[in-house]
Amino acid sequence: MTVNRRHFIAQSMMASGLAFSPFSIGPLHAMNAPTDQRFVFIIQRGAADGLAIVEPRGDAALTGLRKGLMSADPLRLDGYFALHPALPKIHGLAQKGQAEIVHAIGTVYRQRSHFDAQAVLETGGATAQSLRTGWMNRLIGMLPQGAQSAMALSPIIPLALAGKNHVGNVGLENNAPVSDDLAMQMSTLYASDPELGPLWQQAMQTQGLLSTNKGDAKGGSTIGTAAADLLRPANGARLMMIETGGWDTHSAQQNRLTRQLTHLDAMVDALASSLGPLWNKTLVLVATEFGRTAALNGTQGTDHGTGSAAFWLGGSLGSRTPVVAEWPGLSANALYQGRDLMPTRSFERMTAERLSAHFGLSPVNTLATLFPSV
Amino acid sequence: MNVQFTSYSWRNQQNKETGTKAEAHMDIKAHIAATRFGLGHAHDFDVPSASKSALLTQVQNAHSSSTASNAEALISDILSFQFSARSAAMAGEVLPPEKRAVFNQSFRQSVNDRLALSVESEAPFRERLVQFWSNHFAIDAKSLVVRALAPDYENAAIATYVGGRFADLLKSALLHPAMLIYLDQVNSIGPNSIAGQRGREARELKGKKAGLNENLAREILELHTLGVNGGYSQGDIEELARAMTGHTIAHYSRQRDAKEGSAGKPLGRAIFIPQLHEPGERRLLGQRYPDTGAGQFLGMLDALAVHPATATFLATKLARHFVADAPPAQLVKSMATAYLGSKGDLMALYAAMLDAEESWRAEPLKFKSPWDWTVSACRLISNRAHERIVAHKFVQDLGQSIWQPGSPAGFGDQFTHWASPDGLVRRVGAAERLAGRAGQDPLSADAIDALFPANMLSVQSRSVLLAAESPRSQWAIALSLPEFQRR
Repeated sequence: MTVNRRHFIAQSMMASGLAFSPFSIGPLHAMNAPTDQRFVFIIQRGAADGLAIVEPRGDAALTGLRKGLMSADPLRLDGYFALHPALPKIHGLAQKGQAEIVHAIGTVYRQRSHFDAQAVLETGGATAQSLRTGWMNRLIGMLPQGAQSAMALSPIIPLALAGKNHVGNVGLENNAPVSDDLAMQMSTLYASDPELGPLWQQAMQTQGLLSTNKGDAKGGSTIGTAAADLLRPANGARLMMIETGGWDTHSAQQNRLTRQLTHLDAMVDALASSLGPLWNKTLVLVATEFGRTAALNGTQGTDHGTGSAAFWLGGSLGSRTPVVAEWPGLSANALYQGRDLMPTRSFERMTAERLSAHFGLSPVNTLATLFPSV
Repeated sequence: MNVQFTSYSWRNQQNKETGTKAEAHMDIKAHIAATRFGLGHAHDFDVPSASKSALLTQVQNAHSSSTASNAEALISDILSFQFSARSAAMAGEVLPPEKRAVFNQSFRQSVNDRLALSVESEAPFRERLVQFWSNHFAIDAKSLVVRALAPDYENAAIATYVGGRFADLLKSALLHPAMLIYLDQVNSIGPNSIAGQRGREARELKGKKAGLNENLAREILELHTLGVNGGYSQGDIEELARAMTGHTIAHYSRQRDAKEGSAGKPLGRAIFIPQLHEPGERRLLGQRYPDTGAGQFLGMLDALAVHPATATFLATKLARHFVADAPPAQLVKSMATAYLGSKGDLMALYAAMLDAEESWRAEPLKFKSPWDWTVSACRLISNRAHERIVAHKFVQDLGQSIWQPGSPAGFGDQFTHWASPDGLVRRVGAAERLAGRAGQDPLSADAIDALFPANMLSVQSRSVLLAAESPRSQWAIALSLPEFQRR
């Protein structure tokens, strides 16, 4: 069995005294890390439509703007907002106080380019070009030794995790496994390479931890389970980023968004349930680069907008209210540039605040380090 | 068997003429020419010549990869496809998927063609340069139209000019339809041009901004010429954008003046439409440019091409690509000086790089990108392996989507951009799959010596390689070796 042999390779490396934590480059002496809090950032690339995902049903202007897009049977959150019907599991979390949605939120970015907006969302800079490293990578540097392990669930390291602190990665899609014999031989040959050795060791140990079979991991629940596998171990990942794409719904939004959200809901559900008791120590952020136009366009979709909604999820969130917003309204003169949901909350401030509380860091330092633009 | 590991023409020559020490020296130099400045050893280890002049001759003589542009026909195909897709949508129908599949199939074939060209090339230094400049002037094949144009862009607009003046390469790249479309130049209209004045009222009614688009101008200064710290201001970006208005594609825009200005020109041709051009004198980096129509922008490019900041920026990028992630300052300086001294001749830039001793250090400092690794693996195993993979998918699974870097900055060119735990495992998995295509011949000790001359292979790597249980597993190990990941 491949999985068993992988475990064997991983364990034999640990036993050989060459052991490294699978997630950080350094000797494995920090089994009892000073913090065992976990943080997961699920990025929604392509501008997720906050107004369709968390509908302001109480806003009188909503029907006029997007009659063709409104859900027939939304999941009620409070007297004003309702959740898209493809998110039943997240709705369940909200009912337990384990979800908090921050609506009408945006970064400092105010144009409408995906690439630049994602660069701002991920670097925490004032513009797409102002910072070269990601805020999650800088967060690694703020955590105590032994809790600095970070992991991207993607074949390349995303910008939010790019920077001088070491980050591991594993892409779950289209990855045919290496045969055990070759893996063993390469473990020997890479061991003496100072650059490639640690990368190889980490990859082998990561694969040993995954309970799911790689290669068919397009489903949300498979990804959520794999994420939990890597977050669970005592020396496992403390910070993780999961990629989701396909949110750019310029046309035929109804079906596409339902598919996207079904995937997200399954991912969050599998992550929460597979983490078991550790779900109580885990904080999840789901966020996108910007929102979409308030009105429906001519092709049953929406175009690039500004304000959107972000989700905080976690077992010990203890949220008293499922939606937090200074609601700007959707009337014509309340919209940003007459077309988009006006952002009234700062993504940067919100994230710094939550993360400093979660990891017990100074709020001022956290904001200054992660989001110096604010 | 088509794999011959015993005839190394360059080695045999050396054996006749020189002693052992010189031979070892030449071994390394030929090896560096083939790997650091080339695309990797060919299966017969036939390295024609390792000298600087031989490398430069490749660039001057070989025109294997440059072709005449076919952009007009490609744009015409795409526009008629998009037109029929729109018409179908309005009639509530969906076009049969084969229609779109044709474009995707053609794109995949183009990536396989690019791989074949690289694997079979006898001018590998030139191919490296084509691919380097193609990435320097990166476009992104995410949209259907740029996707269709990407191969033409590289083969016609880039490859033709890699051995000439940078100013010519710059103009050729920027005025190719792929770039004009990718960075929105086709939508840019001078606010005070005839079209701008006509459109102002209509736009104000719709609440849209006037039509100047700065995207391409910003990237020209930041990514193509001066570099991000090259000493330009937001004002310079705007002036460059204004001067550039009018440079567009015939019959591409539905704007009335653009349509009129395209009359008599073939669809898809890069042209200058005076009715879109912002009138007036411009100032760029303190220099005045009178309004000469199309020439105003071209004059700016001529000046940008020989700006000292451009020289340093290009020298740094080229040295980083070939020599080291952090190239020696002296190397960059001498390359920039040679470039400026020649008034922007790319051959002088390459010659200065090849003249410098730092460029020929035995220690390989560059980690191969997924593309470069795939090319070098296919060249080594030969046996038509490159024809039996879907190159686009193969390289994408290793973390690199050809012609789709995701940003106008192109692919990164340093260790951290390509080396990751998952990337390394995927590479070893790919090595194993390619090894299955390598045929039945094992690597002889001589072949291993040719692949890694002098002391370039560790004792351990050599012994594991020689102890492999089958030719197939030996090839998988060879392509996975730490020594095969660098150049």
